[in-house]
Amino acid sequence: MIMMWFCLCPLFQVLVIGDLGVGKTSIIKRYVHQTYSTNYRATIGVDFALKVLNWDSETVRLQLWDIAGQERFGNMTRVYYREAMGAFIVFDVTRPTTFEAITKWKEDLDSKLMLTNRESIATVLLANKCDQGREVLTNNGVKMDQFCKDNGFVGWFKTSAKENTNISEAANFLVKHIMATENDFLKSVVPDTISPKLNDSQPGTCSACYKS
Amino acid sequence: MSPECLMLQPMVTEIFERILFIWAIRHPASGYVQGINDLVTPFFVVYVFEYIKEEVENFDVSSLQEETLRNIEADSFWCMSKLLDGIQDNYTFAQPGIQRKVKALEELVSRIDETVHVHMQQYEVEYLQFAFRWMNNLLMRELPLRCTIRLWDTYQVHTHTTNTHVRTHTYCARTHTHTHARAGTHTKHSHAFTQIGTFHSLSATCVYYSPIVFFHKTLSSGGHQSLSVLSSVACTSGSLSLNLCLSAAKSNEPVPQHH
Repeated sequence: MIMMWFCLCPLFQVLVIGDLGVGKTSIIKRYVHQTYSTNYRATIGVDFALKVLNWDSETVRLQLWDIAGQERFGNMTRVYYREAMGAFIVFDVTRPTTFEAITKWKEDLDSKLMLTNRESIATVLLANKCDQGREVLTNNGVKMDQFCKDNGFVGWFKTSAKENTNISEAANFLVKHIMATENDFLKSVVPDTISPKLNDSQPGTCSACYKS
Repeated sequence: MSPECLMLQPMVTEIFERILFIWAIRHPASGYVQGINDLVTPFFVVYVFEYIKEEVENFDVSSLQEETLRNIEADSFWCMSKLLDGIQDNYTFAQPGIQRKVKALEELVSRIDETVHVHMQQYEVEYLQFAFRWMNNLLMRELPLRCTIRLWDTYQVHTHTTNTHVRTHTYCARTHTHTHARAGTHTKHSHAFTQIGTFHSLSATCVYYSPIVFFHKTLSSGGHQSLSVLSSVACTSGSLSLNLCLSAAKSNEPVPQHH
């Protein structure tokens, strides 16, 4: 019974990416398990978490893909991006280099994944660790809005996994955007791939082989 | 009694930092890759266990003498270096070693347990999505530490034997997996494999495959010799042999748990 119920509600695959140590895992732990720990443990490859949401009297499931931030693991992102419907790109407000890396992550995402209408998937920018009181980068809200516009983010949030600031707000915002795009284009596709089909109803043969 | 608690002590963190930093600058082709820290842990724990008479939880590593600590650090460094010598391509650009091992795992599963393999294909679960970490961290994250130590010990003890052991392991894994595969068929129509919870039981299933692949690869890639050397390093370093130390952790054998 439970399984049947699970099948009926929509499942959205959401990526969480960004440089190492920006707090991707902490954000997910806070969002899904309502916990926070100061002990750092690097993510290797990818981890998963599932969040069940009530959305307009409907149940929505978010499958969060927590992707390792270290550059050495970057080669495998193609394997992880497949089928994703939305993404969070996270940076650490106390480390400017993690902000500079955002465009690199966005480009990686856009080059490997797009919706069937050739648009990129809904992506929200998270300025994490805002509790540290050092958010020089995000003080200028207008500039950040412009940055999002220029780089194809649907929006941005100042977040803190430690103090539980803005995390569910950001998630709701992303879900709203996923729902909006989902109505038009259901599936994301990996560019430059073809799907071979067995029973393709292609008529006849190559003209060079069978000249009749 | 879990030796994991030792890892959070500041003194231990400092020791690890030095070991990993020195290893990283001596190996510029890979540098430090996250997860390598996990490969120091078993050696460190084995060496430090020699000095622990009380409960591990109550043991303060900084209570050891300076010289003792330095020896433990050096022993851990050389053992870990030796281990990594045979698997460096796990950590170089694009991590070809891991890619190859995951591919081997996939091939192995498809051969000895088609049901599981087909099931994963059906739900588009890629082996890299769950087996990458097993190979990157040599199973350090998947089992309790003392079980992993026990497992690593077996890899090393059995390096002098031949394929018989590979076969035995394979057979073992096959038996376990059949049980899991049967459990899996119940959920076949529920997209369960695309759901998070199931990734856990999936890991549980495949944990029994990865040691075989690792073991097999070690044998076939000339790791044979390096692992023997590793054992002798461990034996001659003035501490107990890995084998003996590990018997300290004997209380929990890695007995597979079926759900």
